[in-house]
Amino acid sequence: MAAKRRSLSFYIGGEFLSDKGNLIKYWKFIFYIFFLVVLYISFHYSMRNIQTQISDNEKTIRTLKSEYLGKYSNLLYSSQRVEIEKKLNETGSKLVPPDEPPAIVKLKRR
Amino acid sequence: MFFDKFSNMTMLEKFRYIFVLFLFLAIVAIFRIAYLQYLDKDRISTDDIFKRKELHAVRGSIMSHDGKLMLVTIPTYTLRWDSTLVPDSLFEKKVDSMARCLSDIYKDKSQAKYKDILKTAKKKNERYFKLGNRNINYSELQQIKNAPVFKLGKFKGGLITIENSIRKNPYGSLANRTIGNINSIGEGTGIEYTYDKILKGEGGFCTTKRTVGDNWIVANGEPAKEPVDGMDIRTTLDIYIQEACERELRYQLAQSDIFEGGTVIVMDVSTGAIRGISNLYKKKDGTFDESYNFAFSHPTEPGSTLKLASLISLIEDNKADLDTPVDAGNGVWEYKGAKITDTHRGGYGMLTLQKAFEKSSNIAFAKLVTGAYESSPDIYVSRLHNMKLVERLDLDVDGEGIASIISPDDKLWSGTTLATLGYGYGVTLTPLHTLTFYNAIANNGKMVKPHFIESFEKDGRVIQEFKPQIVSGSICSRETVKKAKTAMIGVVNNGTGTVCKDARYQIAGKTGTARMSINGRYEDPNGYKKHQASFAGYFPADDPKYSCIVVLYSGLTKANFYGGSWAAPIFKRIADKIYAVNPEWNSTSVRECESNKKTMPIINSGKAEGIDFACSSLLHKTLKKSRSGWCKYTSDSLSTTTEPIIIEKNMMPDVTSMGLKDALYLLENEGYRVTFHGHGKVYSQNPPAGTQLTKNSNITIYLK
Repeated sequence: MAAKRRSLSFYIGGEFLSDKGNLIKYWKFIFYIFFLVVLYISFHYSMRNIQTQISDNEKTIRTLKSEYLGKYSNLLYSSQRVEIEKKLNETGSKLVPPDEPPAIVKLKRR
Repeated sequence: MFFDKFSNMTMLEKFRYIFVLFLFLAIVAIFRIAYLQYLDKDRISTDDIFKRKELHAVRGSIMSHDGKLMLVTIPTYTLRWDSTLVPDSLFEKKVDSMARCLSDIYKDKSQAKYKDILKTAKKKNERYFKLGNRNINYSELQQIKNAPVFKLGKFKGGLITIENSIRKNPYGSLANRTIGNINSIGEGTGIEYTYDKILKGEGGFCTTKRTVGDNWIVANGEPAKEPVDGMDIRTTLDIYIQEACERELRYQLAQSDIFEGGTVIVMDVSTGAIRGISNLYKKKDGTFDESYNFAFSHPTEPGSTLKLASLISLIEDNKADLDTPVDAGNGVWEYKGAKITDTHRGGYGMLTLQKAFEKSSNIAFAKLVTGAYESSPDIYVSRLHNMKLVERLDLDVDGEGIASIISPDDKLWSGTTLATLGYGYGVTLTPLHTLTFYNAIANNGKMVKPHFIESFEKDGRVIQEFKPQIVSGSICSRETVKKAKTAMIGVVNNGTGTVCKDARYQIAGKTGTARMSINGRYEDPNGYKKHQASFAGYFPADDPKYSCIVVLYSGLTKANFYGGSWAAPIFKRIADKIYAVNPEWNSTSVRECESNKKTMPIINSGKAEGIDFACSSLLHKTLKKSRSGWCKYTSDSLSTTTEPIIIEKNMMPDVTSMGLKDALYLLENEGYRVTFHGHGKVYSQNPPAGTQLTKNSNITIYLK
């Protein structure tokens, strides 16, 4: 019982941290374990940050793609010949669709 | 008392008390954690930390032959508004701007009306009030998000954004029927329906984990099952030709109220690729839309366009030749009790086979076919089968109609069937079947399968490519093909298709006018008939590139509609449009000029490499003191000098005398914002060259 009481006070009193305990003998190892734990936590934290960033980037890509598709779609609609003709008419342009194909010009070296 | 005692303690005793205190706090904390974890009613469960998330595959797009999007998934947004989150004072101050923004975007109500709506919603403390009358696109969403109050976001401005996605054809209704659609229960039409499995891909899933800041990240780094996006489909359609088909067909149908619909198909002669296809069907309100597939789902008796098959059979079986005479008589011929007529009043009299084809004489063809095959009609029918006229095409899009010919052993065969087969009745063909046959003649007898799909692609890479397939290496002899071509050219130059005659390029084809069956009869008891006016052919006749068929369907009428006057003009206008963009068809377009070594063209600013390339390849000249990068050129008639344009970070370069494309490319790549006025070349810039700038500085350039 006395041994047990000693043992309890040994731990509760913090004596196990002093020269009387064995802990001090292994301070290098304990410090190493502590270092590994800190490293693990920091890696984990950094990995989570990267994952959050990836998720944010994916959202941004989706948004940009949406914007691109919307604009590209509008551009395709406007690029139809009938739409171009409509716009030219609105501006009073005298341009008309070509009747003749474009000419191929071949140059001959003298 | 305790503190007096504590101050008198040794250091070790003091530490002991502190240690015990911390130990007690730690035990309390452990118990509290255990309680929250296992006993508390509102304890956080695994479901609050981990969630299964479905990962949707992106549906593939449908593209034209040259890669332009024809059906694409586009996100749209529904907007709702929580009015209770916006303070009254702020709302009163900004309601006008909010209303103006909504009115500008949705364009369905005036600013005043929107102001009233917003005020009512605010008064009623609406928490999920729907804004606008439609879903908006991303650009419109951004404009609303930048508007007063709404820009404060979800929690302060009350703007709730719900994302949806739609399938959109950027070209509006262009090729709607061919591109097709699919509904939520998997019913649909066209390519979108036929290739649903290819387009939709395969969804995946992952477990997500909640992290600090209520962010959800993928647990274990990667999804348990990655989604596989759908493939893109590249069709054979050409936007320009498709637009021409639809536009010209719509224009022609609008010329008479009697039309019920029509179809146009343009095919690439050598490959069978469908470059344009339009189906217009009259709706109850009198407008036309692509709701019915006439092109390859609607088999009918083709009428006179089938005379080409009769002509080929007669020549191929040595029963007649182009100069074989035939008496078309006075326009009426009685054959086994049936009256066969020609449209020409008084009849055509004596004709050659060539002329009979040009004039499209029913009597001449009925006489020639019955004269040649009366004793063995099965030979004639077999000949039509051998020419793959009614061959199942196994199209790569669902909905192919069945073509058929009445056979002598068929109960529908009568004494007059052989005669009617001669001028296009007793056979049912879809317009695409007829076109495939005409295309085979244009392709020197080789029949290729019509197709709509060029390839399946993913991220721009071809995964599966579909090569042209040959239905028949030769549907008849080369000699017969040559004669058939001569006959078709004759139709355009001297016959019923003269509307297609053009001095610039030659069209070959055949008109067709057929009565359509109404409940088994060609005329109803009141004398009303339905007509089908058609024109099938190819161009340019000397080196065919495209074949085309136009078919118009009338409603009940007592009037006549002829292929030559209704369908052929559409054919001609489409051919003209295609001709106008094909320089290689223009025999006068290759001009040989002689370059003069002594003269130099006027060169302005631009990339030296590009200008050097242009000069060396077009003019066979190399500029002296050639440089690289952006340069300014000073030319006179004999020489050109170059000066490099100084491009330094955060300094305005000299872009004067550049074209707009070059100036924009240069300035925007340097990170500046550019606005421009006028057209032509840059003559002035603000700020001037050499001015210190920062990123996103505004620059204005003036062109003339």
